Amino acid sequence: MHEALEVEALSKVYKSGTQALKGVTLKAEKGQLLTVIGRNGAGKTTMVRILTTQLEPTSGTARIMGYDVVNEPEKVRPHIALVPQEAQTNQSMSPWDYVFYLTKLEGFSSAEAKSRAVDALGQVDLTSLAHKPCFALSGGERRRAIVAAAIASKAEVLFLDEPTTGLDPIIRRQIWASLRKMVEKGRTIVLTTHLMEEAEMVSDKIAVVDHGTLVASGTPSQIKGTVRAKARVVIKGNGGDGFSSYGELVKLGDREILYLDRPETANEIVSASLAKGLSAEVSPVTMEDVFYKLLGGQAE
Amino acid sequence: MKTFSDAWTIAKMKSVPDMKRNPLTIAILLLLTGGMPLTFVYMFGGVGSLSGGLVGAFVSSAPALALFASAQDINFDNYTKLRQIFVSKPIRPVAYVLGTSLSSLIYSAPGIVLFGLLLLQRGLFTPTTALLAAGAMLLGWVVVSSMGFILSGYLINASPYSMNAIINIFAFGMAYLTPVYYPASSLGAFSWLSVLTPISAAANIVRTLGGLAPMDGLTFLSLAILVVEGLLFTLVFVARSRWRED
Repeated sequence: MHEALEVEALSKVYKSGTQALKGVTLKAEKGQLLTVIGRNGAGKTTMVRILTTQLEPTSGTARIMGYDVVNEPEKVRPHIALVPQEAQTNQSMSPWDYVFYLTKLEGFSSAEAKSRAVDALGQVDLTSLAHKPCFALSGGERRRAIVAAAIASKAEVLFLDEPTTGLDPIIRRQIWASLRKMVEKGRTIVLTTHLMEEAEMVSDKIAVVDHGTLVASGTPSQIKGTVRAKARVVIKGNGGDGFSSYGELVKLGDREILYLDRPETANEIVSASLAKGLSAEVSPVTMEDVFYKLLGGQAE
Repeated sequence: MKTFSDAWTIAKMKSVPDMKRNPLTIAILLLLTGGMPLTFVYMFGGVGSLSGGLVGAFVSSAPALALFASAQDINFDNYTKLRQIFVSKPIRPVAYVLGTSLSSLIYSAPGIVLFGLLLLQRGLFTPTTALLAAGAMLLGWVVVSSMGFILSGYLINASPYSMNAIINIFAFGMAYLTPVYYPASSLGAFSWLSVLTPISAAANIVRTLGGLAPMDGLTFLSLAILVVEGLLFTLVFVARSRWRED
């Protein structure tokens, strides 16, 4: 029984000499939403482009639904759909045109393509704007039309490269709901994003990529478990220096984030902060904190 | 079969919404391929030259647009990432190119019909010669489309500005400088040059079919070269067409 996605020691060196991927090994089961997160230039889009048969890897293998993306691209393509990063619509097309024609190219009859287009546009809340030309729509509305085209597809594996960038929180959540519905129906989704809340909310599995290398992978809670800190205190106003013995202190201008290895010390810190006239807020570590710590980021 | 139906879907996708929502672009095309050159033909050649000029407008509308489309569509599809979406679908690259070329034919259809009707109204063609003339025009379109995509394939890594500029120079040169709107005989001893570029070769055939030029060696040479170029460029194009980048 094959996985929906199997990537083995995948590497890519561009002609310019840039090494975008360095031996990445990764799997996604059928009906799983895998989110790939990483900094800009980490290699996420290169990976998506190889997996969607657009780019040849330098070495390694990748299989989608059991088919090799290098040697059997014609067998891979009927199983995949893609929302490319920063994709745009033709200004003269309406969302309906965009979704209908792209769906028709999957071999559907006009009637089937129409019905799928209507359904997909409804899922991204574009029904009332379906026949308006894209030049009369906002950037977010145009972006939703592109996502709708992937939703309308019959593909079992969907690759969505930063699909919710630029969308407002309400629409973003509608799209998350659509993604989860598709996963419930057995489709596999490979998502890339910079939004850590998105990664945490929608993913069954997260892969963290940095400089072309897989840094961590697992369920959102497993990823969170890879860092020692379990809670954090955000201290507002300069003066948190005295707390550095409690854990790692990260300065963000006049604010500080204190990562606590022992959450039970939080109350002590809050009381001491208030006594110094500082405000302090305790919360569990977020995915963004974990990302920051995994990739060794420094705010200042 | 799916290749042809995909090509037709892509052709409609790339032409129908644009024509429906920006009908003025059709007027621009009519001006570029008909209004402007015919004005000059009339000014410098008089009424007697208008039939020949109309042949030029009829023959050049689709091929010139196909050449522009080969560069502009590739650039635009790269920019909007539509090309990436096409690559990830079960579509052959030939269907993409055929569809893009066909979209230029759909886009230029109003001009072809208008100039064709004007030629018929002038009594230059019988139904049979009109069909043959349409065939010659389509052959020219096939050759120019394949040439355009081969050229664009070589220029794919050039900047979009360079690619557009080079293709536009080709398109304008082929449509306006070669004997398309004026007879090949105007070139005197060099009239044979007119067989070398596809639009003027097609114009040679259509002029002969309309009785505006004698049926001579130039006509047969034009036809032979168009057929050979059509086969050659199509084969080269099909052999070179691929989706994936290195």
